[in-house]
Parts: sequence; C-alpha cells; structure tokens
Amino acid sequence: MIADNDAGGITTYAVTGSKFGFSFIWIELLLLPIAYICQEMTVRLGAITKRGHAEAIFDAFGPFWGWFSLLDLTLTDILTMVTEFIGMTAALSIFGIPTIVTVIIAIILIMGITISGRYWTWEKIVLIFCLVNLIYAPAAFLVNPNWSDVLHLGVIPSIPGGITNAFFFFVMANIGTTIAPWMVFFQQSAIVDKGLKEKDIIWERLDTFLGSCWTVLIGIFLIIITATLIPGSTVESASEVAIKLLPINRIVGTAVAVGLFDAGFLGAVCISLASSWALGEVFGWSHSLNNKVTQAPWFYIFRFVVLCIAGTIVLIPNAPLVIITLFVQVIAVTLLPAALTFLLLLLNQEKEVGKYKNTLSQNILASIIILVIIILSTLYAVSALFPQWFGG
Amino acid sequence: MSGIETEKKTGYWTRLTTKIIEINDKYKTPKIHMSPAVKFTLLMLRIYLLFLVSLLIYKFITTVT
Repeated sequence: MIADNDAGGITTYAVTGSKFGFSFIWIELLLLPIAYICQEMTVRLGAITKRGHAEAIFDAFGPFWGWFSLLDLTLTDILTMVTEFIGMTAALSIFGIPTIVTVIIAIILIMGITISGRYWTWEKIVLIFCLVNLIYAPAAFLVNPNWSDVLHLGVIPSIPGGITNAFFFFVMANIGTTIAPWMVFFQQSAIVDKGLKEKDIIWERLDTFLGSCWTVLIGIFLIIITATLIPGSTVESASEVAIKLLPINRIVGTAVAVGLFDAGFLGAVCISLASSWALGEVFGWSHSLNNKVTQAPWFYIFRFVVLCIAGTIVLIPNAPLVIITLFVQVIAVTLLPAALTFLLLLLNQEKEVGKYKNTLSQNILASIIILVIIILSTLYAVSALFPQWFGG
Repeated sequence: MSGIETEKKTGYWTRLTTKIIEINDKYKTPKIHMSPAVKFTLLMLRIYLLFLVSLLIYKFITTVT
C-alpha cells in the first residue's frame, strides 16, 4: 500500500504543494477512504479464493479479459518502472552519483532482497524502506510551517481560484497516483503469497487501513514542505523541488532527494513483483517469494529482465522519457477501470467468496468510487493526450 | 545460425504456443454467473476500451500527419 507513494506520487505531491499550498490537503484526506475501500476488496478476494487477480480474471471472465489484463499489466508495469528509475537516478544525481551506477545498484538491491527464499524476510526488509519514507515527517516539522494555516486551509475544504483546468488536472493526478492498477494485482497476489487465511482478514484490513493512512500522511507532509518553502514556484518534478530546497534548507532538500530515491525503489520492488506474480499464476510457473531462485527460475528471470529493460531505457541518451511518462498515464487508464470493475463483480459471487460477498452498502459505495475514478482518470488521460482540449 | 540454434528457437516458440493454447482451453468457459448486470458491465467495458483505443489512434494519426 505504501508503495503507492512511488516516484510519480512523490513528484505529484511536491508539485501540488508548491502550486496550491495547504489548500489541497483536504483532497488528500478524502483519498484515504477511497484507497482503503479499493484495497480492502483485494484482501477479501485474495484470502478467500487464494488466487491472484490475474488468475481470478482468467477464471471468471475467460481468456479475452484475462490476456487483456495480463498484457496491459505487464506493459503498464514496464513503463511505470521506467518512471521509478527516472526518479531514483534523478534523486541520486543530486549527490553526484552517475545514472548508470544508480541503475546497477537499484537492480542489485531489488533482486538481492527477494532471493532470500522467504516471504517474511522480504517483507521485513521492505518495511525498513517504508520507514525511510517517513523522512518527510520530521522534514515537515523542520520547515516550521504555520500550523494554524495548515489546519484552516488544509482541513476546511476550499478551492483556491475556483475550479480551473489546473485544479482539475491536479485532482486527477493525485487520484491517479493513489489508486494505481498494479496495486490491485500486487496486493491480491501478496495476500496469496503470504498465505493469509480467512481468520487473518481482520488483521490485514487493519494493515491496509494503516498503509492507507501512511500513504496519505506522507503526501500531506510533502505538500506542507513545498507549500511552506517554495509556494507558487514552477516546478515539474520532485528532483527539481529537492534542488530548489537545498540552498533554502540543506537538511530538508536532502530529505526530499533521499525520500524520492526510496519511493522509486519501493515502487520498482512492488511493480516488478506484480507482473511476475501475475505471469506465474497464469502460466503455472512457481511464483512465490518463498521459493528460491532454483525453485522458481522463471519468476526471478522475468523480474530481472523487466528491471533491466526499465533501467536500460533510462540509460539511453535522449530517450523519449516524457512520452513514456505520458503513455504510463494513458495505458494505466486502460487497465484501471477493468481491474476495479472485475474486483467488484468477483466480490458479488457468493459461490466464490461466501459470507465475504459485498453487502449492498459496500456495493453502492464501491460502485460510486469506481465510477468517479473511471471518469476522472479517463479525463486525466485525455487531458494528457490532448492538452489543447482542456485549454492547456 | 546453426541448425541446433534454429531448432532451439523453434522449440521455444512451439512450447510457448502450446502453453498459450493450453491456458485458453483451461479458462475457455468463464466461471462467473453471467447475469444481465455482468453482461451489461462487460459490454460497457468493451465500449470504453474501444473509445480509448480510438483516441490513441486519432492521436497517432494527428501526430504523424
């Protein structure tokens, strides 16, 4: 869940804070229940059916939707991973570390933490990286924001300057970064790999809720940092934000850069796992983090190859990284509605999930959320493809 | 390319094709109960995807020309 705050997410929060100040915090708070409701459904489905989302789609909806989801997920994952590598390399370049060194270190680290052959070892190591994500909390206190303004402007809903195209675009960007399609596949497969049972659902719900809170809080802290130190600045990425912050406050600037690397790293770890698990489920390969490399060679080889492809694209001189980033948004939008709709339909199959079937109120709430996400993310993708239609 | 290499490559593609056919056979019949609501939702999803693909094609054509 915390990996939702990947490099793209950190960039979105940092730019949002500098552009809209504290007045965007209430929107982040609204995203908390939305993120929780979507992810909680994967918990129930994974724990009861013991199947990942890709396998569940094949089984319930047949090969057409199965292949569509699997291939779209793989493409989305590779493209998103490129953006994670862009984030990691940009963050470490601030400290003078060459791009190629960052890419090699990242690939070695990501592969290294998964080859222990134990799910729990992997999860404990990943949790340490999640703790690094918290670096934005002390940094937010270090910048001495006006807490009264944070509460008044942040918690009481207001729209500075009215509903403009820019405001709308940023709302869509923030939703897009909080609800990512790969996250649905990742969490459901992780529940299965972890071996969670029906009795564990209550704890996993708590885990998901805490993860959602963590995700939103990190975003809010980052908004507080940029809204306080560089309000109204024209910045386009988190690394640019870190560079701007360094002369103002060295510690905070460094924290933003370190946090950006960490976010990209966590994103790459989870995204690469999402498609490796999905392919393993469908092709019938061994695909557990409890398997050693010799026991699940294809699972690890696929992950390694995907990481190398994404890392190599970043190393290509003059690679069309802007176009890739644009395509990530569009391709993700082709997958997200399908993934969420399938989730909702599957949780209405009493034969599959028994008493864990969605209640009427859960269905109404989830349907509204999914419909809003579909409309907003589609508009976001269309605005990325045709900015002129939105006055851009 | 030597004969052994060609044979290895052909073998790989044959195995992959066989596996894909096997997967398609395994999941041939959708297990979900096809109620009118499910049918309608799947139809809407197809229309939605067609819309997105049309937009991408339009973008491609307008960028190229």
